[in-house]
Amino acid sequence: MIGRLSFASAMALLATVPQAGAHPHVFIEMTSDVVFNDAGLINAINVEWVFDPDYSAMATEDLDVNKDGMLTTDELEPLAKENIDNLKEWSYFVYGRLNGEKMKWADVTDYGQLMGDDGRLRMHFVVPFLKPVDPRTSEFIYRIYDPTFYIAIDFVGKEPVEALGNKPQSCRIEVRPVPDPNSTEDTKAMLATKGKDWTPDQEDDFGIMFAQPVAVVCKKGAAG
Amino acid sequence: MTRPQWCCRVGALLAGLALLLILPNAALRAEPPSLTAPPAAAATIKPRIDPSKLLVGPRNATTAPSVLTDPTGFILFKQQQYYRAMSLAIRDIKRTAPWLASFSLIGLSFGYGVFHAAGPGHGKAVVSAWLVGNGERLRRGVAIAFLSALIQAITAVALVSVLVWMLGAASGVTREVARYLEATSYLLIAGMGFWLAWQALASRLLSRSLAPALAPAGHAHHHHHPHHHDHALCGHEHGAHDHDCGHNHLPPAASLDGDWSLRRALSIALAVGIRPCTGALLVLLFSSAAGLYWAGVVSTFVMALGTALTVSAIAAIAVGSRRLALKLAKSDAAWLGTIAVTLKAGAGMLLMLVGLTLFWGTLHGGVSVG
Repeated sequence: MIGRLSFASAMALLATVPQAGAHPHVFIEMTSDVVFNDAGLINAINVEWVFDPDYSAMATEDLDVNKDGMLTTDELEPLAKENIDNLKEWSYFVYGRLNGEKMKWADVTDYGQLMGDDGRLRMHFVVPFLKPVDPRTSEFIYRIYDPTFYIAIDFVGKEPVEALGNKPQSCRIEVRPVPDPNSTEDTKAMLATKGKDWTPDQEDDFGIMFAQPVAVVCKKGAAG
Repeated sequence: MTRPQWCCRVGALLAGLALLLILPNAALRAEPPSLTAPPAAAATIKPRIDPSKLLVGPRNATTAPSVLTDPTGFILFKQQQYYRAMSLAIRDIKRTAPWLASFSLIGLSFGYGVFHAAGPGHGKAVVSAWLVGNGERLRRGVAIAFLSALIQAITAVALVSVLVWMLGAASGVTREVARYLEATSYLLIAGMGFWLAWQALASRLLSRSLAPALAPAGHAHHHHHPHHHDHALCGHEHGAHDHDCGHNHLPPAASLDGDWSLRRALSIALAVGIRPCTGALLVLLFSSAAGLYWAGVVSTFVMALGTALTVSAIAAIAVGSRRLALKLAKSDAAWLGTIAVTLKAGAGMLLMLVGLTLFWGTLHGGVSVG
């Protein structure tokens, strides 16, 4: 009698577990900077993320250690550190290609988080290059995305990517549209039916089709 | 085991539950601490980051420790995984489908109300009370059934609401309160699960050992049940009935004879309905833990409606057809009792596990559902 109900409700609770939610689960609005050194070479990518309110609320719960109702950078540090440490395996979600070759980065050491007045968590980090890249002599493109599309990361604003430092006069930054918006929409519809536990096969690079490529384009031969 | 001991045990259990409710509350008054985060003095201690908060943590999740080399670690890992999945599910229900969840709960509660009143052990008591009934008694009885079901629902809602309010009034910091409420309701759920299982198993064992001595077949007075109640109302002619919570949905026929006034009807209904049903309490606790308090309140009243409908139907059948009524009463067979006990014990243990896991999660700084 009573048993029947409690059994049913417990079962109902358990049964809901695998179907919870659909892809993507976290939404990030992003801006980025291409960082040039004094010699006009690119030596880092800055990334600035603004998380959706739901994730912000969930992730920062319990982090107000001194209970003053304010989330300081110090209090947010453990979360930022763990995220950055884990992101390392995923190339920090920053995928660069130099003359078509996949690039590797040095470890991120400059990062931080802060809570905005709008209740949205912000995170910034600097991805340092192993070796500076000369955009005038080589082709450099990068994208920022989650390969499994668990997290949707989108550029926002009119100029989502800016140059920092000594950018050569002949170079400009191009944020290109996604290659095939139609098939992207189809894929989004498909992903919406997938549960939280779903991940694409190891080989599948789902996120890339939603990611706008950023290219640094220079007029060839025109010195800085 | 004698009756007084049983009563004491139940009393101690209830007192323990009450203490669990009051203690954290009192602590909160003195100094607002936290179940999960270290106090301000220990600001250097970094809180452990729950895996569900991580952007990439869940997917390349650390592998479980080996069950052979590190059994404790393995159990903790599994428990964490389970808790995370469950609390995420509740969070998702709240965010994405509160209406669906609410309506499921309400539907489930109605079904429970209907079947709970028709369940084994119940039919017999009701039917035997009404075998000698007549049309006028039936009319009064149905009115009393609805009235007492309504009172039962109000009692349950009032009890849980006072609980919620008490915890809420203890502190202005709503997030803290939410956390205590959550932890407390999980403990209550676990406690209720334990109680269900224990009661089911114990009553079974006791009825085996005592029933033959006390009662000839078909006329057992099962007085071993932990709470004895309403003996003034349930005359001995009622025969065997499983004294589960809230099972006296109908007063004995005799008490409905004679003068009839609203005052008298109310007093009879009050005597029957003052004790809230465990099922209703359970639904209310579950729903307030999941942030669906109002759905719980509606569910409770819908459950009462279901119960009243069934009891009325049984009573009507009893008055209308003596043969059918006897047949229904006969279906109250031993194997049905065994199934009921098994179901109850199993469900109780499952519920205890669910409650303890969720409680454990709140202690270990997991994802809050609140």
